[in-house]
Amino acid sequence: MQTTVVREQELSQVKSHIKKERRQLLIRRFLSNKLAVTGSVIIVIILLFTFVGPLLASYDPYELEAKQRLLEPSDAHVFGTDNYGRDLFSRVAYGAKVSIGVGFFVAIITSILGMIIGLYAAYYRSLDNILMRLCDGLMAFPAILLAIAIMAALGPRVENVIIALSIVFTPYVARTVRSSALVIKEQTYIEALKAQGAGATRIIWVNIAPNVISPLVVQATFIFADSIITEAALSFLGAGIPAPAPSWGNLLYDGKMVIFNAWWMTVFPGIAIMLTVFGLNLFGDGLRDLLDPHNNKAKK
Amino acid sequence: MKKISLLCLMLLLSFTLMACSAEESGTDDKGGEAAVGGELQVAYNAQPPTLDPLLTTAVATRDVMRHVYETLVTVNQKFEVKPMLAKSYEVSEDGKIITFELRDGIKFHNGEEMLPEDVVASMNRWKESTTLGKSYFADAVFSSSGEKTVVLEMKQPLSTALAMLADPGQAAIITPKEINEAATEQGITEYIGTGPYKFVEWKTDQYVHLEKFSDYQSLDSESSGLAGKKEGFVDDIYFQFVTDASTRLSGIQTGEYDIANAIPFDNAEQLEANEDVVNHIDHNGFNGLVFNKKAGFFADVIARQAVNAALDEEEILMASFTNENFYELEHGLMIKDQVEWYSEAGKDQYNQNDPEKAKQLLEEAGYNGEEIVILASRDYEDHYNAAVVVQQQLEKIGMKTKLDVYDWATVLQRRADEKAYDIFVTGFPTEPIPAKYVFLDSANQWPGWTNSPEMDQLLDQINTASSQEEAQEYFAQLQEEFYNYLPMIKFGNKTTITSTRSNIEGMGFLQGVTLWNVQKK
Amino acid sequence: MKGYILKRLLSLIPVLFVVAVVVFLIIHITPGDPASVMLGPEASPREVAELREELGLNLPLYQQFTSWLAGVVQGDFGWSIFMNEPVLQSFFSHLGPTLSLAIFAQLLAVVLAIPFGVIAAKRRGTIIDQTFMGGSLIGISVPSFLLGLLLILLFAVQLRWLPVAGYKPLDAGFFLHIRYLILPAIALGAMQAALIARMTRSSMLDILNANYIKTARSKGLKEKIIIYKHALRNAFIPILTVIGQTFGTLVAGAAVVETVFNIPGIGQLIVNSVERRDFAVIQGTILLVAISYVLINLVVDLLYGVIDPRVRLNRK
Repeated sequence: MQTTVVREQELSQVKSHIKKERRQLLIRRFLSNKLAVTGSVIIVIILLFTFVGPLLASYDPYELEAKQRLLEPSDAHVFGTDNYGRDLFSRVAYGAKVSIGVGFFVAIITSILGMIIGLYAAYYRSLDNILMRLCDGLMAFPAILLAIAIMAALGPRVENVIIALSIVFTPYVARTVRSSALVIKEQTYIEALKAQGAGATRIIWVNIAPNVISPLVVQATFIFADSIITEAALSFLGAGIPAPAPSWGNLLYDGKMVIFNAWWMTVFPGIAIMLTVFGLNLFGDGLRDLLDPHNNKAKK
Repeated sequence: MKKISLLCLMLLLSFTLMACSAEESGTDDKGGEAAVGGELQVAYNAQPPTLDPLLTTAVATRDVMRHVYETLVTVNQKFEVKPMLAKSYEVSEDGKIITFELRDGIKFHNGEEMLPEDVVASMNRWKESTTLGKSYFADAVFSSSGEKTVVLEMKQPLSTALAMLADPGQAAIITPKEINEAATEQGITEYIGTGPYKFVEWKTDQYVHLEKFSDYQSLDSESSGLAGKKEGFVDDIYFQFVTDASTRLSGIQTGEYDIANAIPFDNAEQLEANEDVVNHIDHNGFNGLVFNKKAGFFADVIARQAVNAALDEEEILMASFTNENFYELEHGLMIKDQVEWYSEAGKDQYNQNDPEKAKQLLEEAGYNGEEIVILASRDYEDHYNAAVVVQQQLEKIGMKTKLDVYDWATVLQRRADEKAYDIFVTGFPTEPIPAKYVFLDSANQWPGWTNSPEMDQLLDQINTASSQEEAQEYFAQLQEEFYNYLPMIKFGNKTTITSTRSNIEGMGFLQGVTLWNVQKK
Repeated sequence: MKGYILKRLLSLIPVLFVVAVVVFLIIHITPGDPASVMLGPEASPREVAELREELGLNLPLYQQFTSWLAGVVQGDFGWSIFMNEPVLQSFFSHLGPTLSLAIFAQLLAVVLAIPFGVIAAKRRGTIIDQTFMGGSLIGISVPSFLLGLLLILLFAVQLRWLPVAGYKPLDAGFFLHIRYLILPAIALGAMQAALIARMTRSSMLDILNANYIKTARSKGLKEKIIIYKHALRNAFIPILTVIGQTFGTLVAGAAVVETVFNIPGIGQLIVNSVERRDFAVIQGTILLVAISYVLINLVVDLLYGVIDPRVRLNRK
């Protein structure tokens, strides 16, 4: 970790035209990183599916058709139909929007909140104690149980799923940001800035914040993936996105009821979740290798 | 010698049983001797919240503990009152006094003999802790007189008193006096009754274990419903609480369970194809939607009539039960089996499926696009499926609706809040008397808040009628009024599927399964 | 050492206090109350109100909290209204299945993952290594409940080799017990296996490059001995960290897997108690889970000291 920061800091002191070169280098390194490339290809495919899929779907994902219940995959219904006679392809396609949307928002919200909490905790000792005890407390809960409890309290709405997952995952981000920020804070040039009378806000946001971005982005990718999993688990337990909205977890919930009659209702949404999370994890791994020179060296 | 006579008794029993169960399963021609012993693994879909039947109206408690407890009087398959622990009963001329003569030599599971004091203590706890007891027997007095007699004295005559005492829900169970005295607000902690099975152990979230009670004194009369002969054949019964339907389903197919209840309708066919498994369809109760009559749009009776005109019950029932074998279009609150009550009144108002009339009524009620909130829970898939279709049908007549789906506990709370909803979907079991339907009596203040002096008066008239014929007459008027006032809309009669392994014989139903008389061959 | 343990234990107190407050608050803003669930759907509002009063649910929140906390400090975690027994008793009666499942899953994970990790490290860069790395990433990407569903679909519904769901306690027979646990344990252990294998690989790689291993090689020691005796032993500390950390999440993750496979463990207890709003059980159980979670992590930390004395010295 320490080497990362030193490296990063050295780099930040270099002039801007070198920065440009560095960016090109990064891109080249990124392209040579098979994991990251595979991951991003998968993500792009999934995103395409998310936006184009609903256009391809010729059925309304909500329309009930009692006579069309539980049809096997066929030309008319590529993924088959569910126990309400709804077209499964449409539901998986629309579900992508819901599930990925939840993951995306949670990743953004936790990044912002985690960054604020982490930075201020690192900077102010007094705050640190309170904020970190709170984080430790929240992290002592198993994530899924905490999410279930919060959902029970807030009620089943998409927004509430996002809130619940953000509460669950923010402490992890805050911890990461804080530990990176602490190292920076000890650097002599920060001390020097302080001595020159620079304001706390300025130091935190201008001098420290840019240095925590790399680990933050990596963590956000994993949280994106974890949120998709946790949302699916919540909905699967009946405590997530309210039916009949087609989130992937809801599709699995429906599938569980008819697991004896309709394998397709479990398999297709399952593959969707697996692929997405797999893509994000690959991407995150690749990104970490890329942004963390120590790790990268070990690999070579 | 003893063995031989036992064998004879068994043989005799099995023949009588064959005769009775033939009606149930229809295909029983194997005959032969009774199968004694073995254990019965029952996969039951819900966990009882408590094992004290007086405390809860939850059906899990009722279904499990009916094997342990008995009542003075009970009901047969047609919901007629029959004696159980009482040898006989007598109603005085003025209808205010009922005298019960107790049967001889009835033993509790702890070996003590049942005495009139036990009965009085039990009945007092019943009248103080159950809905029926509190509503109708608050100022009634139970007392023992002599060695074998218990007397119930009421301030007013109550023609349905016996039916209430025989009600299977929150049943007026007889337990030892000490246990009643030790009971707290959280109920009794020792489960000692007089039934054919005694309680052994409750492992929460896993099972309740019952064991055959060897000193059980069975009646000799034909068994029907909860009445008549009850014989324990299997030694042990395990009610395994398996809330997950696919687990019940696979367990019954692999033979891990002998009986599994609440089989999803989608899977009925699959089980029928399996020759080791037999499906039994139990007609039990109905589903419906209840209006919030206290606040909002449906405080207006015309608005409720608009919804009633709009609904296509067949489509709703189809969505809930998937196949016409599993539901019945039926308007009556009391089922056809209940010949003492059944009435055709109000039939013309049921299942109208007339969107034009509905739109007209809607206009008459002054509907101006306010959002109608429908409350339902996915914990009961049939409720939820019905709610989805109701929503569609209401949208079709131009109403703006919102389906609020919560877990059951939240629905229970939200439906008690008049500002939280307009309609909730729920189910009701078949009740032995009209008064038990909670949505009829304004005094119940039950969610939805019925407020109809007409219906209240008719209920009173039923309760004080001098004969069953008179009561039935009032009930017909009540049902007519029910369809005018519309405190709720009945979708139609529902069923549940209980599957057994093919070697299980003699299972009965009355608001849930009865497992005495069941043999494992 | 003793002082260190004590210090660590004391530092847990504020953490657990936060847990207690959070859990209490969440539960008490949750709609739905145990009284109406307990009395059943046809109970009258009057009865519900009476029961609420009797259960003490109408007391001010802070009063309910302080009396609960006072009990907890004395080891009394409250009383389950539904099971009519102390929460501790419910907790322990549901602990068996969860522990069985978690231990079995952990064993499976360790037994599979370490050899795989070692092989991958040995064959670094080969197809074997890459296949394995990809495989482990898939392992991390499949949520346990989804893997469980897919396993059910394949092994229980299609092939009918194993039961769909359910649980048999150990006293029903060891093999029956295991038979019911195989699928859930795989579902639960897969992610652990992937994590452990990745950690094994990377820490083996670090160590195989270390000077003393090079020395050992140059001395002509057998490769097997080098790997399994010298390298693996030293690589074990980070591996143990992952095992320790993941055992905590394993117990938690069991909640969802238990629901899929209908296993009456802690997870089911919590999910069911949320359903019936058995406040005392939810509060108590979640707090107990959190306590075990932080204690397991503490024990793992302390174990480093035993395996690697340097850690202990550094910390002093």
